[in-house]
Amino acid sequence: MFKIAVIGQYVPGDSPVHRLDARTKILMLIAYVAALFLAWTWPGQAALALFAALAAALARLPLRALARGMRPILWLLAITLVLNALMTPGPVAYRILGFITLTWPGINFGLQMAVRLLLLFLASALLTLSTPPVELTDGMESVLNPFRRFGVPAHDIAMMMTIALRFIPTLMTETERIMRAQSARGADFEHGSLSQRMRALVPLLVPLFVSAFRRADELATAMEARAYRGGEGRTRWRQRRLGAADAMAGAAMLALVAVLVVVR
Amino acid sequence: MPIEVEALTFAYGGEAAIRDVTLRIGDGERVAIVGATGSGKTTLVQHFNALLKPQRGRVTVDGIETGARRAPLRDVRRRVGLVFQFPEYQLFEETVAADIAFGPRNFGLEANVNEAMAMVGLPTELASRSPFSLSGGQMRRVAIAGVLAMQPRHLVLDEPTAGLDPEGREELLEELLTLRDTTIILVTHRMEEAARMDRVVVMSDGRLVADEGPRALFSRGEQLHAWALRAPDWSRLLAMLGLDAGALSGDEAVARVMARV
Repeated sequence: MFKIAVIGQYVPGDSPVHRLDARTKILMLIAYVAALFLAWTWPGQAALALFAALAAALARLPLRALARGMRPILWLLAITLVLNALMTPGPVAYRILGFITLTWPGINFGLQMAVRLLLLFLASALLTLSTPPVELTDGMESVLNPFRRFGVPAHDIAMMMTIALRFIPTLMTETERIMRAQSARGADFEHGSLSQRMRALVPLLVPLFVSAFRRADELATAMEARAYRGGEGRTRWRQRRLGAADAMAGAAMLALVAVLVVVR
Repeated sequence: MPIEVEALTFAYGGEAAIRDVTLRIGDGERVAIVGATGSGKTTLVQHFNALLKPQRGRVTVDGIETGARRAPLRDVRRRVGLVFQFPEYQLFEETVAADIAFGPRNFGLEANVNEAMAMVGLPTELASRSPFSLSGGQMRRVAIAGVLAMQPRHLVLDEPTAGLDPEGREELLEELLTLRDTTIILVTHRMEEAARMDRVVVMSDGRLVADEGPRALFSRGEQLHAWALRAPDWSRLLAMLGLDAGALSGDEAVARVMARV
């Protein structure tokens, strides 16, 4: 009946980027994002863009999947650019109307900000597109683990993410089922004004939430019945080791950050 | 007017879920559709109210061809009430009465909530309660009442008694069978329920393999087995005793055995 493509959904592959350990990729993403906000010069940004492009090429992902991930932020980029260009004081580049002016520093800053956001999303998309969800959450847990002593519930966060991802397809099936059942009772999800269509969603959303809560409750019971009690003392089936590729990728990332810090 | 299915074939992408099914169900008939899990029962009945449209072949409901371009689908859906499996999971309104009135309101009909509740044996004082505060069996009845309130000419029920206790199953079936002038199409895998119908349609692997009275069907125990089905216990007992297995209830079987002793 309908299909929703989830943005940034894992695309299976066997590229060097796919084979990297999830932990490496997560830490690299963190370093990359930090670097994005260190680089305030165009050469610095160019270096970062080059790095992302290289990673994207190595990941051999279909360009379409990447582009689809970028589409939702186009508006954000446009607004960032326009607002910065309008709001920053400085030499006037173009006077639109009276006091409404575009300034050179504004345009420069707006463009930098837009590129930064674009690279931020591209890098995050590279991570989620090239890493299976389970590895991603496992990696997340490992990376968060040192912060447990500060009260960060690393295991619980990872488990919640795993469960959420696991239930996306289930909820989609459920949505379709309820839509059919309500259509049989004459519900119309496709026609009418915007407000009518919003109201038509109530008979869909209420049963969907009710069943999501029921499922959550059942799942909790099933997990407890199998003696689940959080991450305490839990061991892993998949033991991942860091390899030479992880070292190389990490070194490349560090080198990039070092260069950016030096030329700043 | 009848529901007519002609050479219907339907696939969900891969292999066909229904292959070349032809079937005619007349006004007011009581028909059971039985078959193993995955035999195409549910897919078939979703064609009866145009939730699915034929990929090949034709489905005509009261003279309306559902696959035709610009077919009045809402009209078809009002004529053929479809009660899904576990229909209690589609309840959403604040009160029982409002939920029952949802279908009729969508079709611009006057909803007779009390009548619909009475038909499924729900006490009227439940009308103002929240459907979520009711027991499982009562919620199921509310959902069925919600379809009955649309006053469909044909009522299709997909495993309406699944998950109910034996007494609840019997009661619900009894109530449904008292509906007059309504075609009843019951999807089930319980032969004891099929025994209460005039006619049993057997689906196996997407094909319609039998369409006959329950008496005739139950006397073909071996054949039923080949379709991954089983005659009711009483029929199997009669067959073991070398008697005619075509009986419609345990009582009838007992009488037949007693007559022999």
